[in-house]
Amino acid sequence: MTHLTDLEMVDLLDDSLPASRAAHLDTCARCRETAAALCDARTRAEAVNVPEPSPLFWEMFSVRVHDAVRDAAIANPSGWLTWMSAPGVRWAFSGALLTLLLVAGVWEATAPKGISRVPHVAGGVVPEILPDAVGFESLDPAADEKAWDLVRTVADDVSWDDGTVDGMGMRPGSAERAVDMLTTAERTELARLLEAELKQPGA
Amino acid sequence: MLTRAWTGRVAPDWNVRVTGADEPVIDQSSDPSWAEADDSTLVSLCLAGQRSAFDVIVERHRRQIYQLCYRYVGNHEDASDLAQDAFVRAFKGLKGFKGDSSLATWLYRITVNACLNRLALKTPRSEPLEPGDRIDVRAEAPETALLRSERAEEVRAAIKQLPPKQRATLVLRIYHELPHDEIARILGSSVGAAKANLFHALANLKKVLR
Repeated sequence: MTHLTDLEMVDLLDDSLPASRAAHLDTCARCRETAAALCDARTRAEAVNVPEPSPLFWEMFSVRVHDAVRDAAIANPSGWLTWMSAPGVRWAFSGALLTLLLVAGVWEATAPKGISRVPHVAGGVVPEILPDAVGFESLDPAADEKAWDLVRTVADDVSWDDGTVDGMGMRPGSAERAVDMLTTAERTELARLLEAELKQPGA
Repeated sequence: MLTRAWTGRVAPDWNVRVTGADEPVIDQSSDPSWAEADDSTLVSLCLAGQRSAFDVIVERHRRQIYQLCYRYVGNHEDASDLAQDAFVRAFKGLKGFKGDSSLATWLYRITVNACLNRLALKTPRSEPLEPGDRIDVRAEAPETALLRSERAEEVRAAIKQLPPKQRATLVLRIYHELPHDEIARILGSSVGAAKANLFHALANLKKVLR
C-alpha cells in the first residue's frame, strides 16, 4: 500500500481523511511517525497564545487608525484629482497645453488683424469701406506689419524661377482672364495706368 | 508615517483611567446603530462617504488583525504598526472589496500581504518574553510558569524561522482556524498548495523544536 501523501497527512490532522486511507497507518510505522510528529508540532504551536496588550492599547490603536485613515483621505480627496495627478496624465495635459499655446502664438503672429471680422459678401460685390465706419478696421493688408513681415521673410527665400517651376508663376491666358473679370470702370483705369507707364522714359 | 501608541502594560488588578487634555478622542459622529450593522452595510456607508463607519469596522476586527500580525512578526511594536498599516490599506482599497468573500477574509488577505512586504523589507525585531509581564502566572508555580514561557518563546522563535508563506499558512490555520480554501484565496494559491505549505510548516517546526 502506498504511503500517505503530504496532503493526506494534512487531511489526517483535520480528521477528514477517508477511513480506507487512514487504515494505512495500522500497517506503516513510517507514516505513523510522520503523523505523530506533525501532530506534536501542531499541539505545541496551539499552546502559544498572543499576549494580550494593555486595555488602553485598543483605544489608542483605534485613534491611530482613525487619524491615519483621515490623513489618507485628505491625501486622496477625490478620484478625478488622483487621476489628474498620475504622471502620464500630467505629461499629456502639459503637452496639450503647450501645443495650444504654440498654436495661439503662431496665430497671433501670422493672422491679419480683423480679417475674421470681414462680413461675408454675397454675389461678389465688395461694399464700399468707409474709413471712419464704426466696427470695421482697415482692410488694407499692408497695414498689418507683423503679418506682412512674415510673408516677406518667407518670400525672400523663394526665387522667381523656383516659384515658376512649382507652378506659382503666370500661366498662358492668366492675364486675359483677369482682364475679363474687371468692370468697365476698372478696365478704363487699367488702360490709363498702362498708358501712363508706357509714356515714362525707358519704358 | 506611522505613529506609535503608548504600549505600557497594566497589571491585571489595576484600574487605570487616563484623563486630561491628551485623552484620545475619536470622532463620535458615527451612528450608534452602525454597531449592529453587518460588514457589507458598513462598507457601503464608507463608500458613500461616511468615514466614521470605518471606525466600527476597525473596532470589530482590530483584535484579530493585531493577533495575526503578532503571530507573524512576534513582537508588539511591529504588530501594532502592521495592523494599522493593514487597516489604512483596507480603507484605501475599499472600492476593491466586491463581497466575494467575507470582509474578515479580505482584511486577512491585506494583512498577510502587509506582513509579507514587511518581511521582504526588514528583519522583524525580536522581543524577548518577559515572564510575568504578559502572562498571568499567579495561578501556577513560578518554575512551571517559567518553563511554559520558555517553551512559548521557543515555539515563537521557531515560527519566525519558517519561510513566509509557510508561516502565513500556519498562523491562519492553527491560530485563526481558517479553512484551507480561504487560506488559499488569501495567499493566492491553490488549496493543494495551501495544504502542502501547512505540511511543510509543521514538519519544519518539528525539526526546529526537536
